[in-house]
Amino acid sequence: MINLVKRNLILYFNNKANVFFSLLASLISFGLFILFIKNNLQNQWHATAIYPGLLDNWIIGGTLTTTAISSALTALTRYVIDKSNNVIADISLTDLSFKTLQISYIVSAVIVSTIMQLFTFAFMSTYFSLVDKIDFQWNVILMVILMAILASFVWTAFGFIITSLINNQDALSGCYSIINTLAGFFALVYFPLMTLPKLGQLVIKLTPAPYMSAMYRNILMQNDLKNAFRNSTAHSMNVFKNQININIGNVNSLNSQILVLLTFILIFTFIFLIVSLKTRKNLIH
Amino acid sequence: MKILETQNLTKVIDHKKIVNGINMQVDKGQLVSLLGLNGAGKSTTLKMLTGINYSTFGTVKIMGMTPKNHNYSHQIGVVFQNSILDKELSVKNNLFIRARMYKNIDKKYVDSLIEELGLQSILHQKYKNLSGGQRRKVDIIRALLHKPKILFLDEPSTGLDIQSRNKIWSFIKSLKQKYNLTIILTTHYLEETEQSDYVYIMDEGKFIASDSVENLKIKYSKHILALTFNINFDAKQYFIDHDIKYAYEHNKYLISFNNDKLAINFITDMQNDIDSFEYKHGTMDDVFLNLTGNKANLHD
Ligand SMILES: Nc1ncnc2c1ncn2[C@@H]1O[C@H](COP(=O)(O)OP(=O)(O)O)[C@@H](O)[C@H]1O
Ligand SMILES: [Mg+2]
Repeated sequence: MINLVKRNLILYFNNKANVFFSLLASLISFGLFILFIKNNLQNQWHATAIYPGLLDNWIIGGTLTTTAISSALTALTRYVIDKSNNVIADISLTDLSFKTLQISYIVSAVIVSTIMQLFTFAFMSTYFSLVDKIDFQWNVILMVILMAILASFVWTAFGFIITSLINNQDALSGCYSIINTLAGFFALVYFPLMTLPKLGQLVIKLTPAPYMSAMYRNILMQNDLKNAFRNSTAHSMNVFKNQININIGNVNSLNSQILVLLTFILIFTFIFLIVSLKTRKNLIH
Repeated sequence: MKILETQNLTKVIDHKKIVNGINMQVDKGQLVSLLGLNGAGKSTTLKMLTGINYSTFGTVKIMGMTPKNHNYSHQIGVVFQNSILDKELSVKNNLFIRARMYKNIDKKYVDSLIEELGLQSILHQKYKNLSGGQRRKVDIIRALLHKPKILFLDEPSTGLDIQSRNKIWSFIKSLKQKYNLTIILTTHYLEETEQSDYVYIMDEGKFIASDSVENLKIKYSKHILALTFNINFDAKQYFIDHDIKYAYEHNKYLISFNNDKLAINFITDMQNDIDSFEYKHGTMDDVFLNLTGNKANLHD
């Protein structure tokens, strides 16, 4: 298994286009934020004008979610490429079991996605610490690493359903374009949930994306929130948290957000198992 | 001794019989060709023989085992039509990644393969930087890592220039001897089948003929004698008198013979009247044309 994981990782990182497309969605949201959104939000939420770290970490949190999505999916492209080029057929002739093979692709994607999230985090944090003179938050790094791994599992589980169903690269990249375009909205990178109509809110809440952004924002913004609401009531802090989607409805603590994400992993795994019962037979064609 | 047998092997995809009831019997140590135009069903057949795809009907057995048997894949090595190795990785990495996927791989054997088959000089090159012929060689060695008894190759020479094609062929034949392999390959190059022990000719999913090259030629092609005669000999009258069928092309009389003996006798009998002659054996081109009609341009 390690053998195949290593091979997948080498092939992924060898290919500059892979790395670029994994980061594309995040670069776009980052660019849009700096150019257009930052001022707009600062006018809306007065606290953020005084504490620039609030808004900066808010955008980092959303962007990490989009990075998790696009990098896990890009890493899983390898599985579809290998199916369409008979690589899977070739491996099926060896002693490696089909289960081990699938797990290898999953582990590779989780590793890729975790690394890309940590890279994005390091890059954006460094940028903001230079530009806005906010502190680089060394104290949350361990938490970020753990959450990045969790996030990677969520989107790899999701992506593996798609890549199990699709056997050719063109269909896959079409599918990915749609997901990458939607990722920024679903991760609530550009605007908060309450600005959307009810139906839109519902659709977004049925995906893991908003909870993941909330989770990251919870962790990344806790220091600045404490400072900003030092002299205010817990209620007014909670109102603000609702506004900026650190709370998603009733899912308003870090633990409950993690729990929701774990549930999504279970749901995706369950769907995958149902799907794979149907596709297993004719996978290796 | 039969090493591989199929019975009524059939593949139906979308209600179409891509491969239609083929029966094969392959002896141990033979080099067997599946000859057919593109789309004839060769790759689909090979996928069923190797157990990569299951047949819709019919059976395939290697030494009594069906593809569902766990040991089936240990008996076979497969070279796919398009390479399955990673272009970005070195030859060595490619081979070792695959080798590690087998449980009881003989490391010494892998090293000896690399050495005996002359791969050391390109071992550290990236696969994508190799020539077409070199790539094929690496593909083949990948298929031999686990000491299979039968080697399957899907169009091993397609896409190569003539020189590399010849090299790969002598490489394949040398493997057969060195490692005591049975080899089953597909091709759409007619002339290549001349080197095989047995040929199955495939058309629209069916075997339309199968035999040794020699027997196929006897059955489906003629040897041609092209003659010119002395000026004062009336050849036309002679052929009519003796009821011999002939053709006249480019100032030459063409007569066909089923075997060499008859041709020699004819020349001996007529030696005083013959001015010059050319004798051409039937080729697989003639065999194929006779079997399939003038179906397509045979050569790419
Ligand atoms: N998975 C598939 N689905 C539909 N048609 C197929 C499939 N595989 C092969 N075919 C069709 O079956 C025919 C034989 O294909 P193939 O075995 O690849 O032929 P060959 O290798 O002789 O060129 C072709 O017409 C091809 O289009
Ligand atoms: Mg083919």
